Amino acid sequence: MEIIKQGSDNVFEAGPLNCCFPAGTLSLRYQ
Amino acid sequence: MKPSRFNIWLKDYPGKDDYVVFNSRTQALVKINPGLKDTLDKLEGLNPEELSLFSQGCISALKQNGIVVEDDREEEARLQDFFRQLKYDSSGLPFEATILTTYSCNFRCVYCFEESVKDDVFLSKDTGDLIVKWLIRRAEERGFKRVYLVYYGGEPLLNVRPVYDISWQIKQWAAGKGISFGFGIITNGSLLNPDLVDKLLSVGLEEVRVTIDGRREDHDRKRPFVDGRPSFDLLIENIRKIIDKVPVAVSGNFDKDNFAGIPEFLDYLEELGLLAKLSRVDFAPLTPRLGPKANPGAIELGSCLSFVGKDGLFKEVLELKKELLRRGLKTRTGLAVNACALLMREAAVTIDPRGAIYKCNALVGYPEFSVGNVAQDDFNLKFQEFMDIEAWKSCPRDCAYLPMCQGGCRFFSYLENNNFTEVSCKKEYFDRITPQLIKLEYQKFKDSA
Repeated sequence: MEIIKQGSDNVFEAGPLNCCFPAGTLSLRYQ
Repeated sequence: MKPSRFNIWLKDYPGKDDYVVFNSRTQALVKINPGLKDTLDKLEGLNPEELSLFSQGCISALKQNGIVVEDDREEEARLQDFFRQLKYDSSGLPFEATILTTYSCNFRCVYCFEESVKDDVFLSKDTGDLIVKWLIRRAEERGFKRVYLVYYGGEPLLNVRPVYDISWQIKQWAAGKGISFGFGIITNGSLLNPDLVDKLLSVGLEEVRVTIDGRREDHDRKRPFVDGRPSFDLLIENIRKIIDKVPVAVSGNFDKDNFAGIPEFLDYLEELGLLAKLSRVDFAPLTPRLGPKANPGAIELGSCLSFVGKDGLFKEVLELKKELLRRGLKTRTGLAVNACALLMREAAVTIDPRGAIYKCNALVGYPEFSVGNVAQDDFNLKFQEFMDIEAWKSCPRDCAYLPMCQGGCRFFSYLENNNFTEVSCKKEYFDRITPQLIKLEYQKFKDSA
C-alpha cells in the first residue's frame, strides 16, 4: 500500500475546490 | 468496518494487478496491492483482530483517509459534516470578491456569456466607495485573514480607475490590520501595457489573466474587436511587454471548432519564449449561458451542452489536460470538489458596476438573481433561498461521485429545469472522465515526488 495523497475530513484541507465561474477563478486560488 | 461508498477504484493501474483508489469525500489517493484489495472486499464480515498486524496497520491508515469506514451510520455523519463545512465553515479561506468595473467590452466574442447583459455601464466613484465600505465591513465582521479581489467585466481595463482606487483603499486598510491583500485581473489583454502594470503593482496586483482561444486564426475568429479587427497579435505583443513584471496566466475557451489548434498555439508561445514564463495555462470547454433578458431560460449555445451531455468534449478535455501536463505547465487536473459559491455562506461574491451582488458569475446582470447591493448591509431573501438548496439530498446515496458532484451545477439545474433546486445528474460524464482524471492526478503526484 502506498498513500499517494493524504485525505482529510476537512474539505478545505482535502484538496482543490472547483468553481465553474469565472473561468475557474476560485479553483485556481485554492489549489 | 467496510470500504467507503465514495471510493472510486482503478483496476490494473499503474501496473497489472495494481489498484488505485480515490475517495471523493476525503480526496485521498492510495495505491493498493491485490492482497489488501481482497481483504477490503471481505472486510465487512471479518473480525479485524484476526487480520495480521500488517493488515491491521493498513486498514487503520485507510480508515484515517476515509477509504474505510466503521459503518454506514458513520459514513452518513461524515457526509453531513462535509456539506455543513462547505456551507458554513469557509471563513478560513481568503475573502474573495470579483468586481465588474463595466459591462462594456471592446471585443465581440462569439460565445460571450454576458452577451445579453452587455451595456455601457461603468462602475462610478460613488459605487466604488460603497464597494470598499461593504468589503471592509464584511471582512472585519467575519475575521478574514486575506482579501483577494478579481477585476472582471466586460473588459475591466476599459474602466481602470476603480481598479486603482478600490485596490489602494483596501490595501491601506489591510496593511493597518495586518491582513494580506492582493488582486488579479481577468482581461482580454488588448489594453495591457507596462506603465499600467507598474501602477497596478503598487496597489497589490498579483496576477494578470489573459484569455486567448488558441492559434491566431482560431482566436481571431472567436475573439475579434467589436469592429471585427483581429486581436491575436496585439495580445501576444502586450503579454511579451509585461511578462517579466507580473505573473501572467493564459486561459482559453474551446469547442470542437478550435480544439485542434491549441497545441500549435502552445508551440508558438514556446518559440517566442513565453510559454515557460506563464504562471498558469488553462483551457475550459464552452458552457451554456443565459439567454435574452426577456427569456433567460433559453440555452443559446447548443454545442456546449455536450460538456455535460452524452458525448461532448470528454476526449478533448482529457487530451488537453494531458498535453498541458506533458509540457510541464501548471494546470488543473480537474479532480476536485465542486464548491458552489451559491450555496456557501462565506464564499466569493461578484459585484457588478451597479453595486449589485451576485454569487455566481453566470447570473450577473440578471437583477432577479442578485443577493443584495453594496448600498445595503444585509443580503436579500435570495441569499437565503440559495443557501437553503440541498439538491444532493435527492441523489442516490450509493453514488460514488456524490461529494464531488453534489447533485450537479445549480446553474445547469436552472437551464434544464427553470429552477435552481433539482439534481442535474452528471453520473454518465463522471463515469467516463473520473478514471482518467485519477490517472492524471496519480501521474502528477508521482512526477513531482
